[in-house]
Amino acid sequence: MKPSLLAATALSASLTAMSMANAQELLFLAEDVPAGLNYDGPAAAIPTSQTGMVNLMEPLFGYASAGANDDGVILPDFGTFEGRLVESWSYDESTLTWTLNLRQGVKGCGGATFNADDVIYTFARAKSVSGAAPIGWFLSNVASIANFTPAVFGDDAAAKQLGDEVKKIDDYTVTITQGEPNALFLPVLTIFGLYIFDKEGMEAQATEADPWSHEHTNNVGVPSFGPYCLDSWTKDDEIVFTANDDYYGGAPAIKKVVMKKVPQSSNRVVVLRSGQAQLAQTLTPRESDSLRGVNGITVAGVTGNENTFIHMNFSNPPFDNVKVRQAIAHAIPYQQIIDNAYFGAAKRWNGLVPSNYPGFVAPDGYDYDVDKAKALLAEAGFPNGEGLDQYADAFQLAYVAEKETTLGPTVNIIQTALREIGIPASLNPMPQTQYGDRQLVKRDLPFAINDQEKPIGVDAGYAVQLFFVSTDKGGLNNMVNYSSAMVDDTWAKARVEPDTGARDAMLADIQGQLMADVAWLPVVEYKTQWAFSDRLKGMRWHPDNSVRFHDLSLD
Amino acid sequence: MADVSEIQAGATQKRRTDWLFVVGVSIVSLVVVLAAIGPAISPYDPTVSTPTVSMPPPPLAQWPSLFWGVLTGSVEQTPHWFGTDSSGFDIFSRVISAPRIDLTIALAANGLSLLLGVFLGLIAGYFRNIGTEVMMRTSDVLQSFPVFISAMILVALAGRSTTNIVIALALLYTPIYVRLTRSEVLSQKTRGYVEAARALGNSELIIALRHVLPNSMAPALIQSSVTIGFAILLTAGLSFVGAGVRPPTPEWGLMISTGATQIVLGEWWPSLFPGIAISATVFGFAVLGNALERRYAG
Repeated sequence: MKPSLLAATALSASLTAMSMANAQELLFLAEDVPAGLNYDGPAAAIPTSQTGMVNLMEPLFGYASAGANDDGVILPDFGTFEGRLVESWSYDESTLTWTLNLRQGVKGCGGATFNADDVIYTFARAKSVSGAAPIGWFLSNVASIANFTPAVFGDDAAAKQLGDEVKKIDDYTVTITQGEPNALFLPVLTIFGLYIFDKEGMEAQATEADPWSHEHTNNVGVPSFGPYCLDSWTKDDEIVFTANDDYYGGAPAIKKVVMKKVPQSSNRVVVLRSGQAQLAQTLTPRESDSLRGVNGITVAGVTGNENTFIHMNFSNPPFDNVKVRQAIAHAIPYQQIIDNAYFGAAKRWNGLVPSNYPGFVAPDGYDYDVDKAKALLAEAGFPNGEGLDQYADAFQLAYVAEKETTLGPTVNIIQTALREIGIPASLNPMPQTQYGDRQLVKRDLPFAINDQEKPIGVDAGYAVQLFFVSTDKGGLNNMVNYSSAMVDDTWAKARVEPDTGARDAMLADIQGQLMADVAWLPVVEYKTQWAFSDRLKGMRWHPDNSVRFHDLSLD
Repeated sequence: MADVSEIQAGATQKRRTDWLFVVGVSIVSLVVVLAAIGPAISPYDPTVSTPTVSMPPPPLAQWPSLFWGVLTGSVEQTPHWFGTDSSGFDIFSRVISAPRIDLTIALAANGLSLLLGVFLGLIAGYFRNIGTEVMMRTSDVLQSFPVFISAMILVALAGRSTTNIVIALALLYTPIYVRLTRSEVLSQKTRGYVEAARALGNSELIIALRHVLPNSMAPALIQSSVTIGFAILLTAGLSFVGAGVRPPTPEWGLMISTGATQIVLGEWWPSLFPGIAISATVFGFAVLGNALERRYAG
């Protein structure tokens, strides 16, 4: 259904009944509610599902705070790790072993007390690769935890069993051994895909057919030790969280959170403006811009790790020609996109890794220069675009149809710009499911614009490993079939390089190569924004872009 | 006296009918002309975004001076008469360019369904047997589904292209013509001229094609005017829900869809003008069909 004022009015009226009487209750409007609470399940990649997980579960590590940005959003300090369920830790370089001293007295919503068995259970579940999407195993593999290798996908049942690589020393001490030195260990343990389960609660839901309780976590709830407990959950409608007053980090200020699905962003704007909701997310840049200055509403954001880039598939001519890719890179009017499509809530992306991540460098990029674009196109053998008509199908710029409101202005600017240099570009909106299937599974989308890939692991190397390493070398999301021996070989060395300076130098070389090859064409880094009541305080950005309700309070 | 009042009432009715006929013909003519020359006379390329986004139309009070400025060449840039949308497209240019795609789809779909429907209706009405009964029941089943939902499903299955939209609409409108033609054929086949033709030794096929068919087409032809209007509306509806033509094709439904999300921001113009255009066009085809029916079918 398309939005209408009528629909918004009806929605607003229905929410009146739910309006928050208590000062410490929050009505949060989102594009959806969690489709699942299992990070090894089919809904793991959906941002709203992640929001559910991170508020109900707890990680071993997190990042310290680095103060607030100009919008008042508190940022993480990526250089300083804080223990969460871990109280202190040490690392033995000679044995590649981390010793984690666990926090005592942590109570879960089900009444269980956290201990080493919960950590062991979590890693054992990850290694079982029993879920639909083995995120826990993938992250453990990225962190080089010993024996978390692709062998788990073979027929050998023993390979799926957790051994001494994650070992209980006593009730509050665990050791984790790596197979090789790898600086990604701590960053990876901050990611939602290795948050800790409550073993007792999970095992109570296990069945013979489903010993790891995937069914329960996909559809009913997730026993853990997070700051909130699950009160009720109706998929496609709403999920209600209540505060875990026993939370070790202090009882949450907001006692109840109702996360309500309001699919149309324009309707979220209407309800927020009416004062019935206190927080709305994923509004379009235009809508966020329109709310600035509205009495009682704050719009705040952070240029974190969300970006828009053009994807040109190396397997599809003429994108296998670097001159064509470079010509397109010079033809894009970046500033016009920032001004007219993002209303200033974006900046030029001068790299292929989020610019605030450790290890980021800004290699020489491609400025908007139509003459240069035409010259490169001529060098590629297509003067003024002559001869490109045979590739008209390849030049269909694919994008997610459901994001028409957000991406429409950008793709129209790009199409106009490409036609100016003679490229027969057209637009190809397609449903999210079809887009995802062709991009990530079949990897056969020739030309696309993408604003939904973000490396949650806060490290340039994580991004390189995820997106740019050859698929046969473990590039899980290498959607453009990019393959470079230089990148593969250098990353193989950087991955195990213990010296930070040397590792960063190698990562800089890789980023330079990626930019020269136009592995992706980076366009903008856009702000992750929220609009909320000015009574709401404490907004903090996390790399998964999910709001933590425990950070917030209402005046 | 009663006869006089009846005559007066009839004259009034005829005047109203003629007035509607003129309105219908005028609107339809305008749409046809725009379909032919709209993109050529539009001040901006309807598929090229300008740097000016979400600009409202100039106030009505300024229109005369702006128009004079355009005529005399004293304005640097042609005004965006209907404003621009969130991508910077000139809405006026897109509104007057849209009939080409909308009317093409509607005419093609209607033409196909008319040809197919009349032919099948003739067979179903003239040669009644088990086969034609099966055809009619199939037609009933097709008509029992909501047209819009059926069109969405067909386009979703076949893919989002102009050709597939034409085929989907043609399939959905064919049963209308089948039924109309069949009922007329059932009436015509009992007429004396059919008996006469048969007595002269004509074969049944010749009688059906040469004598019955020409006399049975009037209802279908009158219906086609209304169907074209609704085909335009259906095309726009499909685009509105994202199952129609691809952006940035200038198409009224797509324009309304894109503009609808901006209404909450106070930007009424991206969806209002295409909305008016589509309403006027459907109205034009409907009253024309109504007037034709009164003239030729009454």
